[in-house]
Amino acid sequence: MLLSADILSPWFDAAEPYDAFVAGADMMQQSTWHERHGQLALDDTQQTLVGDFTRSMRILCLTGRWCGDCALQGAALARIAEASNERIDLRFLERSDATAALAVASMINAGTRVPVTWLIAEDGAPAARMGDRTLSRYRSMARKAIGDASNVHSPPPLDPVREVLAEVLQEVERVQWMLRLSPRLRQLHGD
Amino acid sequence: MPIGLRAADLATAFEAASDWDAYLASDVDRAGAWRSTREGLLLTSDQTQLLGGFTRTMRVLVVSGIWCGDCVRQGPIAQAIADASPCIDLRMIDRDHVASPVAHLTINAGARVPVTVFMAEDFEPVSVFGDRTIHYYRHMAAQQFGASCPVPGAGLPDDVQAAVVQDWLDEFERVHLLLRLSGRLRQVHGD
Repeated sequence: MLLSADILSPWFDAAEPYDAFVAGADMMQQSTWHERHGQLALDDTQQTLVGDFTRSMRILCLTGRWCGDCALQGAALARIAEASNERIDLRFLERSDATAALAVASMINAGTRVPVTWLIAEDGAPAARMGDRTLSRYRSMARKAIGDASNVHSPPPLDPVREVLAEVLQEVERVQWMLRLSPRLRQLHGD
Repeated sequence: MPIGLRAADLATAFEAASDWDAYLASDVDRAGAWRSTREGLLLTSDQTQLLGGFTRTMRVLVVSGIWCGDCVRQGPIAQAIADASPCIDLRMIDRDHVASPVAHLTINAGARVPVTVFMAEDFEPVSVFGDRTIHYYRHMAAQQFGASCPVPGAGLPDDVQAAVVQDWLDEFERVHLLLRLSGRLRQVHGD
């Protein structure tokens, strides 16, 4: 499920950075990604957190240019990468026939869902997989889809878009700490 | 040959895994620490109410080491959550068991534990959770890079313990909502 470095690394090498990936979308899709990017500037606390990252990491996102949740999480990841002083190398792959092997190996609940994101150490070793939607998005969907039967107890977030940014950032931070505290990487870096 | 973990692989591992009592019976000398942690865990009424409202069966497989300190801290949390919901079918399997899926779940180039696989009722994989949660990593980082040093043998501060429980509960809730809203499972259950 996390896949191995041997499997993931060629996909990472073939993937595109954020700007190139978004530029490959049609104009309507591009506007969605640009709108989300505009909504998701990091606040000062988030900026400081990400700016203090010391371990290089890779992030690979299997996504769809047409997909709203992908634009939301993808733009959030782009904002985080932009604030990381190049510690984060973020790449995107479109789910398509060309990436079907990866999509099939990453199925969630029997579906080739997107987005699926791998957080990866500097040498290609996978550390975590995230996807498809975050908790706040599922709570929102459940409230709308099944109402009182949703069993959602938490109140809606004040800003649902920025809540997803916070959720995505929390997972990136978790993996950054994992890598920072990793004995094998501490030995490698002498820190 | 397909890559990645499949439902059939997970079903086999799940069948070979043990419930809480059987898992602890595998090493009576070390079981005391697990039981002691479990007895000290009390979910809040809100948490219990949320879990009591779960309606989809989910399979949860904790790949663990009974000797492992992080597993002693987290395994009982997973069990406390499962105890609060008849919909959660939780099993534990030793990392080195012949049927363990750990080879597919390496984290940062290591066979780390605990690592937990969340599945649908028919063993279709949904998510991987591990090794440590964000709040435990923050606690570790504060101990190692902060002003204070850890006291040898000291337990986890209550606020960190509560935060780690909530980290676990959030993933259970996210996966439950994913399954509750799944088109294929709504068709199966007619809801």
